[in-house]
Amino acid sequence: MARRDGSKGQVKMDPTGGATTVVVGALNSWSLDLERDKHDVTCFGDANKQYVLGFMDIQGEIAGVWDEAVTPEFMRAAMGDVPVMLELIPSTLAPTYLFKGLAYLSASIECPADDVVTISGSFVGAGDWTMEPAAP
Amino acid sequence: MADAGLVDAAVVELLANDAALTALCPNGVYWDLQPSSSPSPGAFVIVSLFKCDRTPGLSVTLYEDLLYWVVARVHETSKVAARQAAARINELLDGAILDLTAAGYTAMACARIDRRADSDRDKTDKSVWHYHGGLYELRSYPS
Repeated sequence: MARRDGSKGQVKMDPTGGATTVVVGALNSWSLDLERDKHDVTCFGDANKQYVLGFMDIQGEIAGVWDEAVTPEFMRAAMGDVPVMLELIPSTLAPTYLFKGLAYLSASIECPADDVVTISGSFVGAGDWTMEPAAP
Repeated sequence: MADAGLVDAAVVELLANDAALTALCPNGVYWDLQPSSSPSPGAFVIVSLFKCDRTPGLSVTLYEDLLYWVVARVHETSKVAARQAAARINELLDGAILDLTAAGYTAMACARIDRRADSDRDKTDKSVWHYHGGLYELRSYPS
């Protein structure tokens, strides 16, 4: 077990939504938000507000640099209607630790005259998400 | 107790133990200064600490960023050997996860964030020295 630097992060994707994920190239960041719905159940006499948990709302973002050798596959997936299988790996030095699940992908591209062409994408859950390895 | 000086020594040792770099810079790898016992002129590598940033956690050091200038200094008419030495240094350090076990640290990342490629004239005989290398950021934490 070790603390990790983000420089070894990785994103894998199967654009068909299957289990055959491959590395998405030319990316430089990803984030995953595991926000939970929280329902207020506070009643008279409680000492503080109290909540019960609802569903997890899977959302996240991916960013990188345009590279026509690899980026069009990512853009096509975002322009399609099929949920993709995503694997988000914090560090390839410990590649068995990851988050995965089906996601609907959106993408954008930015082409400024004075900087590199960048892409970014956001996703939301389209199926059950899991973290690996599962708790012992 | 964590001693970041041992990390400095580990970086010097890594470079000094590389046969390819030794072939290009046969006069050695040194910390900050070439010792007076070393032959001069020659070809050697100087490692020096440029900056250190510590990111504290609760009661611990979460990680430290150590910035090193790693520069091949080559006394030759041609800059080719200096450039090749810098390329070898980059192969050894950029993207590497260094083994800092003996130093009591765990490496997280190492990357070149700046370059140096310039030349100068020797103060005594006006011959040419070439300085090629880079500024490397080594991120690690006490194990």
